[in-house]
Amino acid sequence: MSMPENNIQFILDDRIISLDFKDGGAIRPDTNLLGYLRISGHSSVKEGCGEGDCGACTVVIAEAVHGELSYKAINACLVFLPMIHGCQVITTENLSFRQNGKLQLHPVQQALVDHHGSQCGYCTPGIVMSLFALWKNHSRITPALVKERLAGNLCRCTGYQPIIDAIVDQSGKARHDHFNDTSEKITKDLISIQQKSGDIVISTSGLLYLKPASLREALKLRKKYPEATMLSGATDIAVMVNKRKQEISAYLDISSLMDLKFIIKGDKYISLGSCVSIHEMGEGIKDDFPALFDMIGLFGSHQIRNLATPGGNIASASPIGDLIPVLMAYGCELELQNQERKRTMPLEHFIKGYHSTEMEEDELITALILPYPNKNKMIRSYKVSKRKDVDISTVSSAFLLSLDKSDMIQEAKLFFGGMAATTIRAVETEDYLMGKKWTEELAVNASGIIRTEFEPISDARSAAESRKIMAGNLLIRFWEDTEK
Amino acid sequence: MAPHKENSKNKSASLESFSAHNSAVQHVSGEATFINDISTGTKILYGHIVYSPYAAADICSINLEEAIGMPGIHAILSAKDIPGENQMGAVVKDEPCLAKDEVAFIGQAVLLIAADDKRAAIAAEEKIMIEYRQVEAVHTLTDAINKNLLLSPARKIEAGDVNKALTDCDHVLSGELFTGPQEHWYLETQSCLTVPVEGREFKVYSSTQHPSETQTIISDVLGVSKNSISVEVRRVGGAFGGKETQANHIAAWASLLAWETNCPVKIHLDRDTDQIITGKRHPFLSNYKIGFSSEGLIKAFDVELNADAGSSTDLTNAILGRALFHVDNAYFIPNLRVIGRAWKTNKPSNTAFRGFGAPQGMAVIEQAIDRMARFLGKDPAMIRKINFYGETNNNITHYGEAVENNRLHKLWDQLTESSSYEGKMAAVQDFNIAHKYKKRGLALTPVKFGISFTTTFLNQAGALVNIYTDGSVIVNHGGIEMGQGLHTKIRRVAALELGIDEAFIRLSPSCTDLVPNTSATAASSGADMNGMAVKNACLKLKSRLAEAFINKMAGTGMPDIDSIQFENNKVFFKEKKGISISFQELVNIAYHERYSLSATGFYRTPDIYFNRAEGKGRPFHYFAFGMAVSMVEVDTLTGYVRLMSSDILHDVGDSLHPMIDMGQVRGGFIQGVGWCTTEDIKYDAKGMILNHSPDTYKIPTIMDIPEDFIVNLMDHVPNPNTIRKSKAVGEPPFMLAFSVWLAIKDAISATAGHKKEPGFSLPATNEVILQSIEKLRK
Repeated sequence: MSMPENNIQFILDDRIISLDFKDGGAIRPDTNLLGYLRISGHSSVKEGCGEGDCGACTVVIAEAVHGELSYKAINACLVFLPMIHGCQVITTENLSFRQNGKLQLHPVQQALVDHHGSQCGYCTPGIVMSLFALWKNHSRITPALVKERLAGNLCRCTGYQPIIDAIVDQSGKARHDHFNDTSEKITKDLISIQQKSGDIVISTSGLLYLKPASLREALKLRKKYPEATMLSGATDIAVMVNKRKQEISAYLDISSLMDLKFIIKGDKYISLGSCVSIHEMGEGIKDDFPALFDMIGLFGSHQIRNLATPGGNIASASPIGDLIPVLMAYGCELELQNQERKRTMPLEHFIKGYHSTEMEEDELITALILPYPNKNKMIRSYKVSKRKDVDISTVSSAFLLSLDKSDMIQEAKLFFGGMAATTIRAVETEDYLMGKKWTEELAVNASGIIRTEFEPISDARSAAESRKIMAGNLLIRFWEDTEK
Repeated sequence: MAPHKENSKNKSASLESFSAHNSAVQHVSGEATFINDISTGTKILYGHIVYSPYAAADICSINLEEAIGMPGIHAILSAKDIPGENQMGAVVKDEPCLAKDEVAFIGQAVLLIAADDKRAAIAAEEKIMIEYRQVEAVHTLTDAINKNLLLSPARKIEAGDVNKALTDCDHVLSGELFTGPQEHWYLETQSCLTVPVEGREFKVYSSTQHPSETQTIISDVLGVSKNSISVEVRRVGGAFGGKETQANHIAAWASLLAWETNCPVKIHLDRDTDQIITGKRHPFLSNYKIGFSSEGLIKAFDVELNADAGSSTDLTNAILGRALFHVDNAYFIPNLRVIGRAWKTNKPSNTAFRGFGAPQGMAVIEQAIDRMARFLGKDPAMIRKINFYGETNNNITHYGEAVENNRLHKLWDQLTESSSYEGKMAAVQDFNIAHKYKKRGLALTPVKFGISFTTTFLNQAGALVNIYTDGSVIVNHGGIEMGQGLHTKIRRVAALELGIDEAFIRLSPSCTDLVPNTSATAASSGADMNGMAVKNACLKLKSRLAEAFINKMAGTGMPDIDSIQFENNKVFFKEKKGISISFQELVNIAYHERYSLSATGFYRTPDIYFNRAEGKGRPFHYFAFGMAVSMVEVDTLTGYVRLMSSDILHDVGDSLHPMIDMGQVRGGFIQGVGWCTTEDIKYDAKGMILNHSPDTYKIPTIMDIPEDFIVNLMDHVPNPNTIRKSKAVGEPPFMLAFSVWLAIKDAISATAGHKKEPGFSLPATNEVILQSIEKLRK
């Protein structure tokens, strides 16, 4: 039996919460999880920025995957409530418990206390949750892993070192917590919610929120409501809503389409469902597409990589979309589908202009097809940003060169983000490179052409002039990195 | 004595006797309550600020007609609705609480709305019509200087004969340095909840560093006496100077709305609003001439500091003052002239930020020395060393205060050894020979920082210590806990004074009802001053308890506190340890003997004074010292900086709490690294800040700390005449980040073989680095 359509269910505080959206209620389908948690007595979850940059609202979501719970840290401010349907939500309050009136801290909480890892305490609950997810998923914890997982948790007081020391000290220690004791029941409950779930259609307070359970239904709704704003990870859309930059009256949420969460490694290519998370994508491609893996490492924070999807990153067609240049360099093709047909097209053709694509009003991006790169192709990606991690590109690029046996350039593709209204190729420079020997001198000369090829803008991130210098220099960096 | 050799990360094991932050368990369990987490039982209205979209404009008309009756709207207030004084300047009354006829910056509050929720408030705001007439605005410091928009008369401190020394010395270099603004980026944005109590009394929960001033401003704005306003602060979610005066604004606004509606009203700014409407660290544009000998001895330093005050005075004069006091940093300069001017621009009033002008002042001399070294072809660290203040001579600052207990030479000896400074320098040189597009840089920089409020009367503190009949103790003092561990240090002070376990002592939220007329928790002075005040309260209590003890044990005799020991939860005669009684029992006895178990304590910092007209005096109780060596690798093609190592040795006297002090050193240093590297603020042509959220304003992440981050505290350096011989630690480590800033410059300089002087400013963003390298290549 399918559930009432305007209702979602999830587990919070070890209880199944059944939430009905009512007209004019304080809780709307586009209320973010942060807002809901705070009004439901979970004030440990803090708002620090409302845009996923600070991590103060980090919570952990547990999902039943293949009969087991998988824990991931996410930014509660970037998640609309229907997105947590069928999940367990864990906040800092849930980690400790009282036994005979005495507060029992979770091992990660105790480690932070022992290592003096909190000062003002405002970022601390978010840090606790990032550490908890890390602790749940990894028995061996290195400083490098901690840094990767915590880059999305800003702390202004501690200088971070004691936080690293606290969790690294847990590496290799026995893992047992009260979540182990309840995991069987939680898994069962989550599976039962999933099994009962059908398509969710919430219509309330002048808002329409559609969350189909199957691709088939998604395509039907896409056709019926072409004006609905699509979201998969919501890491972009939620910021728009939080900051009231955009009034959205209809949402088509494809975040839980299992049909689009596959990673298939074929003989000639890897095929990725458009709704896998960026983190899952990274795990799937790291052996075969190193330049893409490098870029994923610089994509948002771990929390954002757990939510954001390649489909969303591509469909938004941002001039600074991190993945677009490097996917183009790898010759990525997109699979697009509507109710009648499937078609494929090269990503390079798909992006039309500033936030504009070839996607038809009734289509969804269903898959990315990544052909394994030919061994003689050199492909690298670069991202220049003011801060290396959790920052948006000032300039990004991906370069592809094929050389013949005498180092003559046979193929050259130079993709840039941040230099124009859309991802763009340095065509003049490519022409200049063709047929020439790949040397430092050539790279330096070509970098001069790159500088003159674009007219970027000046903005909060950088002046136009600096962008030109960066873009040109990246080719020299490419030369040095590929020097034998 | 060698410093601790071990890496800071291993140090905790040997320091287990020091308790965790007194809120650590509440922090990690999520129980710790901040303003936005308080519930009152009755509905709290949402307070909203309607602010100016223009940097400079006249307000022609305000039309509220459509907005006022909208659903969910409880009040909309403008300047004319203020019952008291329309004024919230902390020092000079030049800052209206709500703009009346004109606005002077983007973000200036014009109207206040009390609404059921944010949605209702924004809907009402959209229906409000305010007609502005724009007038010419001043956006940059240079514009303000050109238009001669001086905030207040220039200040000068002069020693020796600068003009003559500049003429007589071997070499003179002159230059200009810009240091940028910095956003505080406390995790908890500005917040206040005002709850009306009966009879027009108000309970104010404010995230403020200065509850007494918050109380004053609210009482001024409401036109009521201070005794009807009670300001309470349990904890502040980070402040760094940003809540020293500017928290008053939010508190005044929330209180006005609470006054009008007679309902609890909360204002909790969203991040963008906070970054748009509040002041930053003052940008400085400084000009200097430095005269020196061929050996590198500084003979004369002539410097002009220009501070961007923003639209009103706020704390600018005191900040400029501290900059003037710190242009010498750690160096003896016999002929020194510093002139400071603050200029008015159409920006939110710039304000206190960790270091309080000292970083801006010090940056100039550090940059100048770096240039001298390149000019002379010497290692900048050696130039620094030969110019350090002497221990017995060459130790008088330009304002006439002797540098006593100088730790600079000891720091140098210990740090150059523990950091393998010379080995690192050789490794950097080798690397740079072998690499064309990546260059490494190294720098060693010292800090000498004067401790005390330079406005002498502020150097006072109060405390109230109550003992209950079960022997438990509550300590109230005038300082506030903002993460720095003040309450943890104070608890330790009280425990050691009373000879009881910390477990028996609780720190109360700071409250103006309990300890009145306090100074801001600022100038790194929180533990120094409040610790002494608490100690003095404890001494009074001990004296009474000792009397009760003697009465009980001996039956006769005058109480002599010196003959009685309080230790291990026991009280006994020093000479006869066998005769003891538990602290708890003694308290009970004293109660029945009708002794007061409540005492206030007070402290004023001794022997400090300053004559502003002459520019001479002894403004500081003492100096704190520190030193750092940092090594970076710069990708000269992308401007990306890899911070490879920072070795820090810092002087905190006899530490009150080594783990908390190391936390301050690390945290202050990293905040300084942010200011020096990625924390960049740009404005558009209309004066609108472009970097108003963490999307574009980049503070350091966990990835940005040094790969090798070694922090140690100096051993065996007791500080005379302070609480338990300790030293203040909040601000000084911030400036150790100059080691990173100048290591970056060293790496840039390596691209031209250290032959040319690189263009440089602060922050050294990847953009600044690339532009600088670009110029060197030409």
